[in-house]
Amino acid sequence: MMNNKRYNSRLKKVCWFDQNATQPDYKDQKVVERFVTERGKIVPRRLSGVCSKHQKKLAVAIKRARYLALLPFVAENIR
Amino acid sequence: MKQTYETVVIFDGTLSEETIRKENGKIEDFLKSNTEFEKTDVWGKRSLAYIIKKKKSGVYHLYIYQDQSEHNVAQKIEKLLKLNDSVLRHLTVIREIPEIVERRNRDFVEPVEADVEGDEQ
Repeated sequence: MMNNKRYNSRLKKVCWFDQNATQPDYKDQKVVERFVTERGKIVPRRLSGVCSKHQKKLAVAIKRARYLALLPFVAENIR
Repeated sequence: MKQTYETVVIFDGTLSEETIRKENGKIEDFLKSNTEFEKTDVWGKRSLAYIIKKKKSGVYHLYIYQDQSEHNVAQKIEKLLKLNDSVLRHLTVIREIPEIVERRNRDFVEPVEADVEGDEQ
């Protein structure tokens, strides 16, 4: 029964940027950080629920933030 | 066409405040004489996410200015910053969201998942 429930209930995710009425920006370090895994990878849309319009902008923002050393390209010291 | 640009410059964090002020002045003078300079936003000293030129920290400055896109300011400022040893990194982009700087440290709501099609059985 518990298993069934997990399969039956579909969670519709809402785009975080739409919710907050904002846009992805590389200067917003706190915001951009939350869409990156602890390894430093960009979180896919299917996990974060970001809409495709914002995911595209987010990817650019993350890449800019990486260039400016606000985010790591590869996270170190993870074990 | 008139565009608003923003340039982020990372100065070497090991430099003294005075040198950074001097370098900052140079860039501001260049922008004031060549473009419609708006303002400088100083983010302060931050630790870098990875080592650049063997340096672990940098001082971040954000310059906001307007100019005609035909003037190729981005290329000119590139020339200026590339030859500057005290600059670790720089990035010039066309400004999209004007008010984002002011909102940089605003608190946002946590991501919420709305249960739309929940089958309760």
